[in-house]
Amino acid sequence: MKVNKFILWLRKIKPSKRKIIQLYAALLHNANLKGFISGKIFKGDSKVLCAPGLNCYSCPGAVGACPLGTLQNSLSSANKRLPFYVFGILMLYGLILGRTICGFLCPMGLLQELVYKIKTPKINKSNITRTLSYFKYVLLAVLVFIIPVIYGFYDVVIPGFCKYVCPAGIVEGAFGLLSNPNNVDFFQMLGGLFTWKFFLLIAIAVMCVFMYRFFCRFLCPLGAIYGFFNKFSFLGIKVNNDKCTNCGLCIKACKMDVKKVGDHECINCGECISVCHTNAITWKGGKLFLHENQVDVPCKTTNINIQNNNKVKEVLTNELDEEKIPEIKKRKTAVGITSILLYPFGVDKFLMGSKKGGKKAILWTILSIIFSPIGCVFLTIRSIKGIIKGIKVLIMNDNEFEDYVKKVNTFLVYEYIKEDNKPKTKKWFKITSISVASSLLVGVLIYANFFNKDSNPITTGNEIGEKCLDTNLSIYGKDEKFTVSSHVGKIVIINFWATYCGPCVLEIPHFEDIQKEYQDDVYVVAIHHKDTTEDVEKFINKKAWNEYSIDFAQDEESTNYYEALGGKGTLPMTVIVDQEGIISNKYLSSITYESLKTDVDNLLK
Amino acid sequence: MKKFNSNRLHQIYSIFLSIIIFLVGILFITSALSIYFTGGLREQIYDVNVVKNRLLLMIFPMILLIFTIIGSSILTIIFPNYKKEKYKFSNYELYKKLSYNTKINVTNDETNLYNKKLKLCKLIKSLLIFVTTIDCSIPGIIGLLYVCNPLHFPSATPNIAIIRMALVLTPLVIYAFICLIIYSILEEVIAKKQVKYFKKLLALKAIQKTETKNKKQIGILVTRIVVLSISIIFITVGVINGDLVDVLKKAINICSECIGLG
Repeated sequence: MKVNKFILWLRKIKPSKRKIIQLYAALLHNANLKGFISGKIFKGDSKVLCAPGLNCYSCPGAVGACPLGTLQNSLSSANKRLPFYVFGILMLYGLILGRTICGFLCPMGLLQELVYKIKTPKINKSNITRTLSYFKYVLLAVLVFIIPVIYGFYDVVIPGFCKYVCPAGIVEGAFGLLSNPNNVDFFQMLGGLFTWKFFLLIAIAVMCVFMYRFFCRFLCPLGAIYGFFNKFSFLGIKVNNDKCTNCGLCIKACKMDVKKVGDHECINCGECISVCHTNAITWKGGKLFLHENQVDVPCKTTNINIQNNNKVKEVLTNELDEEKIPEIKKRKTAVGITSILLYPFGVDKFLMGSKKGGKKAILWTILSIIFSPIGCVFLTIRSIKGIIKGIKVLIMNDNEFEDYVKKVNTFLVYEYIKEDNKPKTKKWFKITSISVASSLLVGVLIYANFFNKDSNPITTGNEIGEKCLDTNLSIYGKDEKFTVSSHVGKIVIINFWATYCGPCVLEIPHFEDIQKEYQDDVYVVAIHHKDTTEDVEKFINKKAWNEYSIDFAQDEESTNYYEALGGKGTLPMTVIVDQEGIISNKYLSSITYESLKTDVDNLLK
Repeated sequence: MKKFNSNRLHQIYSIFLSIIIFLVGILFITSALSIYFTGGLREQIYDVNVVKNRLLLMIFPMILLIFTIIGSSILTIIFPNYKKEKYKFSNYELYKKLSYNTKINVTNDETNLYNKKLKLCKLIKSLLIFVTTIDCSIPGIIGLLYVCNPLHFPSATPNIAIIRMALVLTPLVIYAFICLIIYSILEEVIAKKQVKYFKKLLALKAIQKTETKNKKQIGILVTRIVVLSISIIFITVGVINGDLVDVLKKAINICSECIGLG
């Protein structure tokens, strides 16, 4: 029997249904394809919804909010308002899907699984990895809860995990934005923090090659949160204790650090279902979407005593071998289609096992292609022949087919491995779910890419060397308006900030110091972003900034001065305008007192 | 003629691939570090041209890496890897597997002896759990006291405070995890003994299988109802509070440093 390696390899790498769902979910999370071209963050209303998987909302493609980032941001303002919505939505996701989200929907999970496919020696799970898997709970407690809450009391937003650890922020957010030529300015933001996170990302990526889902297992706090709900979630996998012989094959097959199927470490990937010989492992809610016999298969081994564990294996192996006999209909289709598609190129027999005939045919095909147009005629004839041959196979009766395959000696007969234990979905459920999923994807793609129009940014008056675009914004606590033209002769420093931006709040005192030091030559205005989440004036008074000599203005929806001056959705931003009203420098990130001073000194020279 | 061993070939190739992955990883990290530490102005360390130049320098190793990965796939096609993944049950798993739904029948002195030994193992394990809990609690409490003290987190310099926190917490976390790892190793040693005694009892036919205790589904149902109700109430309250607008505004106006661009 000749088994073709190439076909076997192709069958081995064929994406599973789970992989297809993962790809689908990754596309759904990042449906704003337009964003990858424009290099802009999506600003549609769909971002009110937290996506279930870990997908950074700074990714240009992201159409939903990251649940973990939102949780940390909300916890930062927990002293003002408790984050009910985020807690509620996380509980709902956890209750409905549990860690099925990790196994099926998380884009980061997909990335890790793809990286793990690189063929290197792998580090298997052990007691040590099981112990280390609890590290994610430490991260959850310290970086996701404690740090944001503590700094929240100072009115400084520090999403600890996003800022210091999360690789999704770098892979999707930073790389997504930096790789776009429109965002060359963003390079000036990068410093120590980026270096640290880049280092961490590379370390995680390298570890993911050697360890299955390294980030999920040891570092992901979102997985830790969903893990709490895994046991009682509506979707997932369950074990029927009546059928379970405790053979341990499921734990053996699982690459995660599970102690038993369905525990907090289980990502509900369902790979253990096909491993279980007694069909003790099934999908939760299987009665709804699986064939009846796949939900409740009578147990064949319940009468076997525990002492005879080896015998259990023997009995089951024999049973499985019997079940391996392939269905003739499927084999016929496979052989027929192979003939139709591959006969013209002479590789059908080769791929089906007969190397001799196949090699000859390949040689003929190559020679014919070289000596075209004879090759075209040759290929056409062979195509017609292939179609006839394929149809012949498809309409053969079973006995004729058996004779044919013996003649061809194809592995499709002998090596056909029936996916016996894999549960079969009900047809109506399959059709409905595929239709709903496709409609959802198409809808989201259309909404994100066509119905969500970007504002038209002003292209002049916002670049270094150009005359700064003027505006007319109201100043907090004063009846005056801020205009650039009214401060000609002075250096004007325009800072854009927001109450929900930690670094923005931290850098405001630097501006005050500069204002005090150069009070005759410099005018500083801190403009709050047009999107406000709380009473800005109250915030200013609380921080005692109303005693500062710098002015605080409010950007407006109609003016959108931030975007007019070249803001790209990231805060803080500082624009330095010289005495003649020309933009001399622009910072798209935090700024230090020293840098400000250097800029001012240079302009005053 | 000696039969060609494709598994050995795969083994050698995969080690070669691993080395290349490590080298490319190190190259990336050192490159980023060298840009940072030799960068120009503080605000413009990562100049786009500098990054481009560094990436150009890394083209050869990157191509090598890509070709090595492609090579591994080709190798698998030509020489399929028949080596199956090995996973040996740990003694802990084995003992759990063996003792699942079983009861010991003490019939004679010998069974009594092994039963006592098993009980002793159980007692030692309980003691071990107790000691480990205390061992892990001490750094846990110290860490929590440090982290929950707002005085350790001055509002003006959060980055420095968090670096300091990491320096304080890392040894504590390492200590706690070392304790846990030692516990798992000792648990394995005890489980080895337990397996040994259990096998003896099996040989003496002193093990009886018991009925599977079905877990009451009612508990899960109640939990589901409670969690569902709470989540719906929370979402409703959040929507009324205006959390949706907050979420939207924070998701569309990104604080650059909060995603690591700083």
